[in-house]
Amino acid sequence: MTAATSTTIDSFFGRRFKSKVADNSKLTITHSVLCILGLPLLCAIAMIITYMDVNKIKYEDNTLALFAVISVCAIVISVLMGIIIALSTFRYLYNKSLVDMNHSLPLTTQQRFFADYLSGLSVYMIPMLCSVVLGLIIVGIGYMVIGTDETNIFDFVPAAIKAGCIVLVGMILLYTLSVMAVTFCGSLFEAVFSVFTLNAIIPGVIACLGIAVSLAEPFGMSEDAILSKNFFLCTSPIGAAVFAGTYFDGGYFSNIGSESQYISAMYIKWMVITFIVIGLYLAAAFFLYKFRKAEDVSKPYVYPWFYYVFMFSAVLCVISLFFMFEESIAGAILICAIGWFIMEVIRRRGFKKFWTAGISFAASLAVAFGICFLCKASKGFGAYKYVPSAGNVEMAELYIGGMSSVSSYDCAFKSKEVIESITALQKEVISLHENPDTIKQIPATDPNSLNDEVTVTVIYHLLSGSTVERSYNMNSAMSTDLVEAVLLSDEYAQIKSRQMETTAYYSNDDSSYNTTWLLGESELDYLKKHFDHATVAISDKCGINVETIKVSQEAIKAISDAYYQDLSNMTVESLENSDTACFIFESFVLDSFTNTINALENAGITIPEITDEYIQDYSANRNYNRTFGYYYPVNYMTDLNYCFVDENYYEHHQFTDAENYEDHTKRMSKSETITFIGNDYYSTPNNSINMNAYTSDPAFCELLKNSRTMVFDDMPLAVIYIDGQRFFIMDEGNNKQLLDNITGQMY
Amino acid sequence: MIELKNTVKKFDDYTALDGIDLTIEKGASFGLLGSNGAGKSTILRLLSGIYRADGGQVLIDGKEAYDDVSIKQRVFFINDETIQFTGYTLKKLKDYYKLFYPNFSEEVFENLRSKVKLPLDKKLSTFSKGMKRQAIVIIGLACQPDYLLLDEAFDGLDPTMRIIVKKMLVDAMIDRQMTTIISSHNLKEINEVCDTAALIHDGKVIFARDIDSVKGSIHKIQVVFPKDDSGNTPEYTQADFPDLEVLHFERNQSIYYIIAKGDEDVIKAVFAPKRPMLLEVIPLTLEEIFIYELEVLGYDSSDINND
Repeated sequence: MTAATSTTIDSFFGRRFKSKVADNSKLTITHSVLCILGLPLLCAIAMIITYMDVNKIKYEDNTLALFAVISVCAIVISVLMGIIIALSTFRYLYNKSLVDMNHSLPLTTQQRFFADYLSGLSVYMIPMLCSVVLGLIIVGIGYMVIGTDETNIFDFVPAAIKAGCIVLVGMILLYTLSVMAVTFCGSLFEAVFSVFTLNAIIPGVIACLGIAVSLAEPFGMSEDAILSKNFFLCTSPIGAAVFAGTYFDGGYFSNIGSESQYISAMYIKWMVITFIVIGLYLAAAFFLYKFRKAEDVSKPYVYPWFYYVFMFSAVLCVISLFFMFEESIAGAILICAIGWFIMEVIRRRGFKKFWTAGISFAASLAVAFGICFLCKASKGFGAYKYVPSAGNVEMAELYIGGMSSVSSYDCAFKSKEVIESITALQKEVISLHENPDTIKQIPATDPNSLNDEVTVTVIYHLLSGSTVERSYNMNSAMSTDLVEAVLLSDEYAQIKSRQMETTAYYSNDDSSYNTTWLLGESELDYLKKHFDHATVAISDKCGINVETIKVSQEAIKAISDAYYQDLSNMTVESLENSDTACFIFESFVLDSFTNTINALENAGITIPEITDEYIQDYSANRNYNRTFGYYYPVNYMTDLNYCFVDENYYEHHQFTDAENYEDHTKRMSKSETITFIGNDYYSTPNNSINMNAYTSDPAFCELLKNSRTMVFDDMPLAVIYIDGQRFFIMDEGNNKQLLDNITGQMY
Repeated sequence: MIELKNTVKKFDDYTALDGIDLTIEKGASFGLLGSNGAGKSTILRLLSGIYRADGGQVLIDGKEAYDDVSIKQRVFFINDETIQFTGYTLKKLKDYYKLFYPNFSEEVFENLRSKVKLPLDKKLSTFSKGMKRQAIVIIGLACQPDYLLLDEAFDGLDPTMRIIVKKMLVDAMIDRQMTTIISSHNLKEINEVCDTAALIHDGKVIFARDIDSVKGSIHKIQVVFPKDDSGNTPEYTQADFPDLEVLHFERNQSIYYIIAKGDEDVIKAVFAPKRPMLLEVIPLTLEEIFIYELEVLGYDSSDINND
């Protein structure tokens, strides 16, 4: 008997599902037409273009472009159909005449809700899935008809499906959130308003609060770091769109050695967290649905506190941004007041007890300002001090500024040693910031430390799936331990050797497309399948005289393997005592890297020599830095023109206004040594005046005559920087005396 | 059997049902009478599981009606609106309900449809109000529920169709022992179809009895008393008949019009000591009972008439 009842009850769910799908038949047809006009049409256009190109047939760009625009619009509209389908499926929640018909049916609340939810989801997703399949079929048939053997379309299928899944999950998120919004509304206007508001307010509040926290104490914080946090990416369709954008763009993962693992880890975590969030939204929607009463239809907001949560969230966003950016508070209040009272008139259907609207607005303002003041007073709730435990970090993306052009080692590291070095450095920097009195106790390893600034940016990817991004400016001495840990790590060796091999394939002239984001784990295999050779760019020890040489697959493999071996065997001593032999792409090869040098010789590659032909290039944009010089006898510092370091070197300073500029200039005047002289250093306000003064100074002219255009090994006393050219003043002759005279006159 | 035990239903601050107790026997044809906003539709919606009671119990065959599929599939509710079906054809509407009511009978449906001659494939939006009402009634009957709840069942039907629909209902009640609860302001129809009725006012049950006993318990009395010794017509007031439960007391010259509750013989016995010249006890129609019962409760049209 029980079994029979259970079967009957289960079948009622199916019946409701079936009836609701039938009920939404018009929407299904509309959505299906949009889906067919979307991806399949786009694929067809791509195939037509490919066919025309392959067969060298002239075609009308505008017609195809028009169809492409139509298909993109259709895709966008079909994605937004999630909102309309949610509104339509649950329309009996805001349409009074439909209440009895739906609620009197022999269904439990649970059956009715989930049958409706799933029927709407099916109407939304199935045409979209069909359009994806249809698109793949069109592309498959297209490639068979075209008969090009340049690319095997099926190589792309897994990656395309993976990428498409982001969009599909984002669509489920949009639909679920829209259903949730409908469950607390009593009228069509409220439902439409709430659907759009809820979808916008969740990422809006997260982004605004994230920005407010980072602005409250900007030390090391990044305003846009919130946009890469799972908290933002996984909680709303807008977040999903940002994730999809970064995923498609590949920017999120660019230059990351362990790319495939990294993408997989990020992708899976995003999927898992987003599905959990969808589950939570669905549970919340069911909870609201279950406890709302049938008679609540047509009442203004079934759960009035949702309305106030919306409105307060909007107020909080506006106030926090105006407050933190120190814009006009009166303006912020005015904007909020206009929005608030218009919505109150609509909600109340008039001015009934309108004084309560004033009170609620005042209360919202008070709470919003309270949160902002608290955020400011607590220095962003102390977020800048947060250092994740190394054990909780799955991997850390690292970028060491000023050295990017040489090393490009903005990589993701999983090595415990590297991660511990990063967290240790972060703790040290934060400690200095917290205790400024201790700063002078740091041994000045570099007499030229005034221009010795390094920007270290780290993005921790925690085991929880969250990310923490921090960026600090410091002198190179402080970053030495970290640099050492990175350079000597096995991961770095793996990343660089792998990068070297991959880059060599991408450097082929016929490599006109980027498959990085599509191919993930099989990237290198894919490249090997499609290219029977690679191209190596090798340059002299200064990285100026570059030659490109075509090599076999075996040769580039041998070179990258050898490079891995040499990097793995590299020690602090070999770093300290070795000169740079050459650069392969942007990777340095020390003269102690015998395996690599032998592999180059075996491949018939000769290391280019320094030549007078490029003398201007050797002297341009060059700086010498002792600490980096420790690792790189010759080093390029290209990004330091806009900033420098004074005794508060650990702080992030930029010349953003004249007052700030002057302040730092005065501090510089107390220094006994100078490193930069010239227009770049003095920036824009007094550029030409200073230049004229210096060039007419006999001592300055003599100093220029004594300068060198390039240096190796030795430490210069100063660098004169004029119009992009660097002139190195060495400790020889009367240079020191001349320099003292000039600095004495200058200040 | 349907039981409402101390049932309370509130809409925000408004109490629609204020602890009512009502029992409707299986197979009964039950009429719900009451003023506008008395709570009749609320009772029907509670029974059909649309509303959840805020207090007390709403039981159908001993089980709570709300959220119980096994109960809800035995109840069919026809509300007083037809707008919700406008997007459907009769066939589509039939298929829709057929999914949820396991006892749905195509034979009954076709049989009833042939009587009212409704087209299957035309949208209900093209139907008149009466045709829509016929459509949903025949679907409700074809679902063969144990309990059929009708809110303003005969609204919009022409006289001929009223007779046809009433016959359909009566046939179903006789054939299948179907319990029918009809809420209507048309007391004549309730009178014709129902055997039992309840009068609801301000969320309370004023009475709930079989209609014959209701009608037998309230009487209109026309009485003329003989002149006294001085030749004057005696002037009685309601207080002169303390044993009589008077609902309405009116005098027009020598004739008294009294509406009173009670058995006809008892009423006659009350008047007997005063030796009336004329005493006529006339049973009231349901409509008159409705009006006089509610008048006692302060719901009357006298103020408007006086204006």
